[in-house]
Amino acid sequence: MFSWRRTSGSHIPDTGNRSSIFTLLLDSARRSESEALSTLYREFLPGVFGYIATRVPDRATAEDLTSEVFLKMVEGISQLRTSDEAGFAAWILQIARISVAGYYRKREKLPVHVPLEATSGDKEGGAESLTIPASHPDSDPVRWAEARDEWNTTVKAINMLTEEQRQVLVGRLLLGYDVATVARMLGKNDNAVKALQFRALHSLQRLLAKKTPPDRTAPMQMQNPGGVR
Amino acid sequence: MNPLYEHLNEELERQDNSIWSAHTSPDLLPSLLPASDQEVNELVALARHIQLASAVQVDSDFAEKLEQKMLVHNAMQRLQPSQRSWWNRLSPHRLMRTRPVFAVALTGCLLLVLLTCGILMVSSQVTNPNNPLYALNQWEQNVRISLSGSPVGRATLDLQFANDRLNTLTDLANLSDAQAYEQQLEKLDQQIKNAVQSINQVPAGAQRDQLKSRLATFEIQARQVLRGLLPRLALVERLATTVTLADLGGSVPHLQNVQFISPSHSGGQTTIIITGSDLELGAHLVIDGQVMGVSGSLQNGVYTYMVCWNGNGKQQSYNIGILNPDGTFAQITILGPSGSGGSGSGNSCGSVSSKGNGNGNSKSKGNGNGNSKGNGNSKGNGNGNSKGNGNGNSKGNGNGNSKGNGNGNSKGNGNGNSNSKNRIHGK
Repeated sequence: MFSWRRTSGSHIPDTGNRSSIFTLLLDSARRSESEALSTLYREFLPGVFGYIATRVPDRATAEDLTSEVFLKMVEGISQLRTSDEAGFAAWILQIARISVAGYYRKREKLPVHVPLEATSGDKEGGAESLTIPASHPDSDPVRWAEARDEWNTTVKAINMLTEEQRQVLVGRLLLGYDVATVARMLGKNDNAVKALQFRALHSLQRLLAKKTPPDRTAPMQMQNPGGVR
Repeated sequence: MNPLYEHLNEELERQDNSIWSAHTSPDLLPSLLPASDQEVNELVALARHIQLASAVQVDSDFAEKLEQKMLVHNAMQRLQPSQRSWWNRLSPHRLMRTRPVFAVALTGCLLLVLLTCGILMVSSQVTNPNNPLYALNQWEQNVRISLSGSPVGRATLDLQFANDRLNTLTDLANLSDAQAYEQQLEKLDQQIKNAVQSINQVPAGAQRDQLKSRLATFEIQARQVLRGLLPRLALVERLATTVTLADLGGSVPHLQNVQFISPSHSGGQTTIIITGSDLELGAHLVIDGQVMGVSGSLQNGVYTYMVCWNGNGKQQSYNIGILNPDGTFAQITILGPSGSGGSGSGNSCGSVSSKGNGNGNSKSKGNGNGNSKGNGNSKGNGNGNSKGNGNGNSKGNGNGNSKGNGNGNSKGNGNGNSNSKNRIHGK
């Protein structure tokens, strides 16, 4: 897995000069410089992928939509007017949000497709690629199915949050931004972000408690879905 | 601020630092969390669950492939300069997408242009000088003439606008708007002069000849149109139209002199001799805007009329005019003879009707048959008609009709019928 967190794995030096460095990086990316684009990509891939993965039910779709977002980033970055990191994050998450919305819009128009074969052993299947790496020792199909169902429940619960709540979770948990940066991203003040953060997690907990069977309602029991890590 | 919000945030930040700096496994989470606040602890654990869920972790193979794909896409974009040309970047569609203010400004400009074009189109159709848009129409024409670079273009526009003015005149004649008609007539005259001036500036050659030919054709057409309008016009407008017809080279009456010959005896008719050119047989005499119902004789360009001229005793100027049968009208102002009572038309001054409350004297001479009605006395052979409230006396053989309230005396042997109403004098 490609693991990244702001505090540990950022590709931009996390110094007091970070803001001006990011501005220069963005300027270079606007000029279509490959290195700058790569840096931005690595910086924001986890956040974008995480945001999309929490919105769609399977990894393959999340990867497709993530590809779409970054190709659109390349196409549209020359017209981007913002110069700070929060503005860029808001922009790229906006692209991600539109892509997810487009996915659900298209899916509504498609007829319901029920696969005739079981998906657990299918390499292309959502369950396998969702949670279980091929090399993982725990290859019990029952656990795969459970993990898939559990994550689907989480996705459904996240989809029931408001867009602002989702963006706060992505900003804080997946992109690793502090409250002030997320506040700038959303155009709100710090207190509002803290309130949104609390309500988002609280709503999520409530929704998951409703949907999850009694033996799995406690958050402690939901951690490490599928037994990974 | 709710302390729970703050507490949760602090816990998340504390966990962030401790977890990620040590890259701690989420299995160790419970031991790191203080047990003071169970609710916050559960929310922090939920946050960690989402944060560390394998479903949100990016597969490194996918990440590398996507990065390559993105860079190739970027290279392809850079290899298509034609699609990213300055024109493409400045295209209204792109600008509207990226600059909302531009979209608003562009929309505003388009609306303004549409509005201006609409007003100009409407104003170009306006022919009535009383219309507020007429001034705009004139301005637009002036601008077009100013902008025309060559004398040929200017002359062409002058001819076109002269034609517009001629059409406007037709409309105004139907509207019976005398003031607007006269103004438009002046403008037509001016426009034709401008056209002549512009044509004269064109160097001699085929173009100039062609323009001259067009001007001549227009003048013929204008003369025809103006003559057609004459019957619909009042005398003042006819006078102005006749002047314009003269400018256009048309055949119109022109008065040179008017001579009055007073009667040798009291009650006789005044002879008016009018000298001029293009006077036509059957033309009417007009005195101070009144068409006199009397016919004169025309000999060698000299018209002679016999009228009863009863001035007010003082010598003053009169407008003497000739109205040709074709509608053209010419007028001259001249000092007239003094007289008393009034002026009338007819061969018999005694038959002049005297209307009003005055005490005028009306004398009729002739041999006609007169009837006397009312309070009048009829003597002799006359069959004079005397109507009114006056005390009229009719003597002689006249056929005079006397209407009015005056105390008139009618004497004479004439044959004349006099129905003239003395509106000019003698009231």
